Amino acid sequence: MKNHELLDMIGDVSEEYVQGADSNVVRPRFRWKTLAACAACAALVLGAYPVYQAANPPLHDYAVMEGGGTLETDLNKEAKAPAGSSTGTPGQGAPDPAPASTSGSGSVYDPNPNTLPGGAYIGGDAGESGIDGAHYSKPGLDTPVQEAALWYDALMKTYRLDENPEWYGGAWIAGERLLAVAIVDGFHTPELEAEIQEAAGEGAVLRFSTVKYSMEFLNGLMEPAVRALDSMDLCAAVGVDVMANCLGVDLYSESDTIPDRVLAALAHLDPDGDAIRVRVFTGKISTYDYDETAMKDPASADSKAIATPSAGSTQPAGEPSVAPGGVTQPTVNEFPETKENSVPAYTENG
Amino acid sequence: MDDNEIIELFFARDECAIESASRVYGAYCTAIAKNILDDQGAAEECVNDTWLKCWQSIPPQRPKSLKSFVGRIVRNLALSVLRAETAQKRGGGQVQLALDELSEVASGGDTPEGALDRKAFRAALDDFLAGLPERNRNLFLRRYWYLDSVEALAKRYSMSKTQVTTTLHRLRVKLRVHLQQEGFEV
Repeated sequence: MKNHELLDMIGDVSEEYVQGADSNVVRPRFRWKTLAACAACAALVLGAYPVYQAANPPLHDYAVMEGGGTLETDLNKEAKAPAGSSTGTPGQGAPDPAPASTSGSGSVYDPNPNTLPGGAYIGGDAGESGIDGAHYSKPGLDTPVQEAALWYDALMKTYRLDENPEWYGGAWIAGERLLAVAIVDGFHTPELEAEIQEAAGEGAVLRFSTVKYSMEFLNGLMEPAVRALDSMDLCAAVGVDVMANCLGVDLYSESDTIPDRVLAALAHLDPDGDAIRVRVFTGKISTYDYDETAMKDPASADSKAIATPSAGSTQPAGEPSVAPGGVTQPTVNEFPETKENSVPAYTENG
Repeated sequence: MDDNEIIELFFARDECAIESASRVYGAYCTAIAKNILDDQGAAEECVNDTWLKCWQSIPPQRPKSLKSFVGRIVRNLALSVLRAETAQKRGGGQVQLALDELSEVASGGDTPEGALDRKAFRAALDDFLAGLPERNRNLFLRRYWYLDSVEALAKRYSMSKTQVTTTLHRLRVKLRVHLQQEGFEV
């Protein structure tokens, strides 16, 4: 038989089979096994990731600041410690949204008011008066009231900034006659700027900026951040850095490493990594120094303390300048307006 | 319009019968002819000849299934055209491939005139097809009746080309054995 004969004969097969072959189309089989394997892999990946993440949580980054707590006292430069910070006992230093009054370092006391951020200072001295109503100093003699502070005060009253409206990203005195106001992104409109300008008062010079985080949000981070640091045997300072628009967490440690669980907790609070600024100050912590010998009984004080005259003293060297009880004798120039007969504690004989 | 109505038109010698048949089965016939001839123009010409053949065959014939009837006509016509073209060294396509494959079944020797009982052979083929699983039967017929390409079969039955080729090879071997068991000298 030839093959073309066979082909012809095949053409004569039952119509039923021919019809069946014409209508039959097999759709791709649903590959249950493949699908099940893919689903199992996906479940494994999805299930393993949280486990992996729990075991290896993302850590917040931090900067190591060598030199320890020897902070610069010129706070016109970038603040070393966050505004409103507290030292030693985290959580006690609730931030004040007004940087003019709070942006000084919480870790170093600087008696010079000219070193407040932006050149801010406290003015409006009412003078001192005694229990008998006698005035020992004249009012308003220390410093004049700063204009930018007045503008800030006006805004505070109008907008209740202490209650942190949602648009409020912070405000600070940026210059002698310049108040900086940060508005949260999304709320920054020309209309709001105009409102703030009007609320600050006539002649107010304001500089607006757009920031990512509101003060309310940053303040909200404070408590959990403090809680994360709570178990650490470290000296920490936590506070809102208004100008940097972040929560500043400064740690003072001899080591430059921080436990992962703390960094993980901070990273959890700050997924974007820019709401919390973590710095580790290593080395010896500088603290405000005072003369302990002055508090001791002069009789038991060492000779050095006795021999060294106090600053500004007009007494010659070698002559005791410490009064009984450790009270330093003031010079006449220190209280120019004081009634001499009303300061019996500072008499020559004690 | 269903088959019976078209057949009635043929019986009534109404020329609308051809138009109706062409409308209903034109694409089907063209696909078969094109599979065999691998030429659109020749396939359409072949289909036109199919309607003429139908016109000549109905009546007296009254097919149970008009689709199968016209399908068989167009297949035979296309194969005839192909043979004529092959004689002139033209054409080939799927038919040539199918013939090559069927060489595994048919020895190629001449069959004495009248020695082959076509009716018995057809019955043997039907038996063979009846014994196959439905998918294999359909695969065999799509390849050797409709002359679909291996690629088309793979797509139609969601198989790989290798699977199709292997399955067809096994079916041919099985057909050869079956025909030999039935007493045919292939």
